[in-house]
Amino acid sequence: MSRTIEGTPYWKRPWRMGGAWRMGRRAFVTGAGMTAASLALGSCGDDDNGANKPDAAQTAPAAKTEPKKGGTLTAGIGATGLHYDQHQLPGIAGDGLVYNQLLKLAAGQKVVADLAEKWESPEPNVYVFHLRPGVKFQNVAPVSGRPLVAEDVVYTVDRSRTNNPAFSNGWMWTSLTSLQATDTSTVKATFASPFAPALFHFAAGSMGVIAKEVVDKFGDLKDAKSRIGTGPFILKEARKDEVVRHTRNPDYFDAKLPYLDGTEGLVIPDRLSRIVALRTGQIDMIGWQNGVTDLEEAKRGMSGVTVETRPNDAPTVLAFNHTSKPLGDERVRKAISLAVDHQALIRAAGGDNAGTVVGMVHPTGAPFALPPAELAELTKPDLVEAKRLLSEAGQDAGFSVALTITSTDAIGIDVASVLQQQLQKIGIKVTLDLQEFATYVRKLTTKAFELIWVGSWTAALDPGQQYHGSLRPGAAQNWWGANVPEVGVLDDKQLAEMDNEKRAKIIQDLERLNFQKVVALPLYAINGWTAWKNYVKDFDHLQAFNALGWENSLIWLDK
Amino acid sequence: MTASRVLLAEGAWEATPPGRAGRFGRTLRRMPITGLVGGVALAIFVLAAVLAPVISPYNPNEGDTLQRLMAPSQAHLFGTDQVGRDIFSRILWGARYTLGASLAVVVLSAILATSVAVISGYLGGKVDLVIQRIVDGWIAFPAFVLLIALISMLGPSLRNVIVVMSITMAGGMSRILRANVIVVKEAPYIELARVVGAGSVRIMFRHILPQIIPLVLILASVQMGGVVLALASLGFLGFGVPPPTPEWGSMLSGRARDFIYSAYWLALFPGLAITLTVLSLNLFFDSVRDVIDPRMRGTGRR
Repeated sequence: MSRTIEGTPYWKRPWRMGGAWRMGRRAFVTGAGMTAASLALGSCGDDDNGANKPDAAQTAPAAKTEPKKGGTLTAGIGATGLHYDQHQLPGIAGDGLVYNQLLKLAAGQKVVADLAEKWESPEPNVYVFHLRPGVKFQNVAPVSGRPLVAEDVVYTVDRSRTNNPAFSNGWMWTSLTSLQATDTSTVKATFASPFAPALFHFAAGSMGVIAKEVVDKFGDLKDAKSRIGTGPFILKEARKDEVVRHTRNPDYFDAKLPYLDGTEGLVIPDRLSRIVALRTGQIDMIGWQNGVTDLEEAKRGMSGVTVETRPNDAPTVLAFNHTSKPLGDERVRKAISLAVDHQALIRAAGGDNAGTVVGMVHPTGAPFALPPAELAELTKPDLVEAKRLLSEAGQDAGFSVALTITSTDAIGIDVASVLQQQLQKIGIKVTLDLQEFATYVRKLTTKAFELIWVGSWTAALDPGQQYHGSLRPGAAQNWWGANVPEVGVLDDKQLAEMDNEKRAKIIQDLERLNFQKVVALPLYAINGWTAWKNYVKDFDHLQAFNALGWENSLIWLDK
Repeated sequence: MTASRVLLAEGAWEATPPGRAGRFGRTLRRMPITGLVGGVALAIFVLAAVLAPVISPYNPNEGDTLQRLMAPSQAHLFGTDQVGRDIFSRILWGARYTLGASLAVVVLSAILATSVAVISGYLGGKVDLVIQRIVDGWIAFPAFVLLIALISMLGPSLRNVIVVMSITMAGGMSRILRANVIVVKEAPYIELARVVGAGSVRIMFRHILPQIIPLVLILASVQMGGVVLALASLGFLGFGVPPPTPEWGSMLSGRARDFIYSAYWLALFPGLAITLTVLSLNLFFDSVRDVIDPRMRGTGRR
């Protein structure tokens, strides 16, 4: 969703900076399963906190306040990540505090410059990126502040597509035929054919540019000490499930930034405790929280705090192990999808406004997403047809199946219990298989599951990503063993289509195909909230989840 | 009268009680009012647990999301939870899991503790030395930490919770029982039994075990309140029976706390159920213990 200036309170209006309009609010997101230092920015959301309602009497814009330097921003986060290797974490994982990418994502899924100052496309399948001058790695051994060179970008991409099941982002580069440093500051990427998602992939949060000597020293990037990049903050300390601290990088290529002296991610596993910590001033902000059940609690008794809601970029998905019987049968999967009452699941997640019925393409990905009316039709329950399909598939007597879900996903567990009841009506007995996160990931990536709850499917970099990266036959993240050839055919078409309008139509066809074949079943996109103290300035909660907090350098504290 | 009755050591249990009905009646008459109140309350909980399938107005695992977070009313005595399930029904069914699991835990831990105590106490010597060093470590390890660690390894299920809790609780009980076994084994009738050719196994089962059974019953019953609390704590921490099983502790955790201000009934009723159950168990069995064995007054507590 986009915001307009009209109707926006004066303290939230954007200001002109360097000739470009910037959004007035910045966002900070901590992602589960990603390093605690990754903070994301959000997108437009309705302001439903009474304290934040615009004052109609305010007509004159406020004088622009110069950002103040100094201070440490403390955020309450749920957990630290599994480890720090961005290429070996499921989904898109990275760190916008420590790393820069070649390009980056701004609000509205817009690709903007980062390490690449400018780029051009001399041919539809070729991109040439020109690195900005004067960028250095952080002054931490083994890179010790050396200049960034084009070869570092090449190394980063090559490493991300290591031929190893543990490396989860290789799917982004399957059609990249060559990536070369034509000189120390120029990178040329050649794809096998016109590749519509190319720029989005270079902007992926997991494409933070790394140095080879760091990997050589540490073996991989799992150790927090190996998190060394060119970004505005240096990782100073990381204690698993306790705290993550960063200090400002004095050699950052933009000398004005960052404004903060440092950031601190304090692990407070319990959500209510995080709210209390914000209320009592122990922390300055809480990054995006999945679900709105505690939204009222988050607003209660908070003075000098802004609370904003926004939908998750990533849908909650019920995934099937296509290699297991009888889920490998399309009729069984279709029967399951017809037994699901999506609106009831949304209510279970927190009420009628707790989420939105979506396809794999989030509605904010318009025009690529299906229209809401069509989505409503495609997701209408039909128990009679569901039973008929099960009977046709030889499952009249029903069957038992286990649904794997992370034990920490309290909302997901509640919603899954409602799903259990819904599937019980067509004779499918679902048992909840609760697993702690590391075991859940292992089960996911080794196909040791029957049904699996993906509470937050990867937020899309690019509209067709869900199909290209996870649902087409042979995709690198096709952990479910899905093998629907038609998905591959349509995916090839959308990848090669550079015209957005035509591409949108193909992706919509993919969505329709998915609802027909039920490769994976998107259930809803849940709403969530973010809260921060009013003295935390220029915090934009609207940035895409995949941006992973690069705008932290723009945050400053007015205290 | 048999030789064993003639040679009873002072303070030992009577070998021939006056009759079960008579003893029960005597116990009741001698019980303080608090014990009786506890007993009545416990009887109500047990009855509710047993009759839950009959008296529960709704299926405890099925809810209507359109009726979520309804306050207590005639239709839903204790209100509904965040997914529309009737809380009163879940409390009734939760009693089955809580009381049933607690009973299973005390029975299993009593069997384990008694076995360890009798073998160790009777055989003595190196066997006793080795076993008691193991028991030392067993008791020294923080019980709750051990519980959580083992359940994390084995996975949360009712069976695993019962087994793991039984093992962790048996250590302390075995130490108390062993002391009693050592006293009993010095009794002259035990020596007599050996003289006439009874083997160790026969002596342990036929002569020693019956003497310590009353103590086992008292210790086990007194522990029950603690077991209920431990089960609820495990559920609260997410290590109990998996959802959507209506277990009181897990009903209290997580989501109930999200709604603590807007829907207090989600936490109130499971909390009350746990409190009243533990209180009634403690009141009743403490009184029973005091009546049956005044020497045990003030001992055997958690």
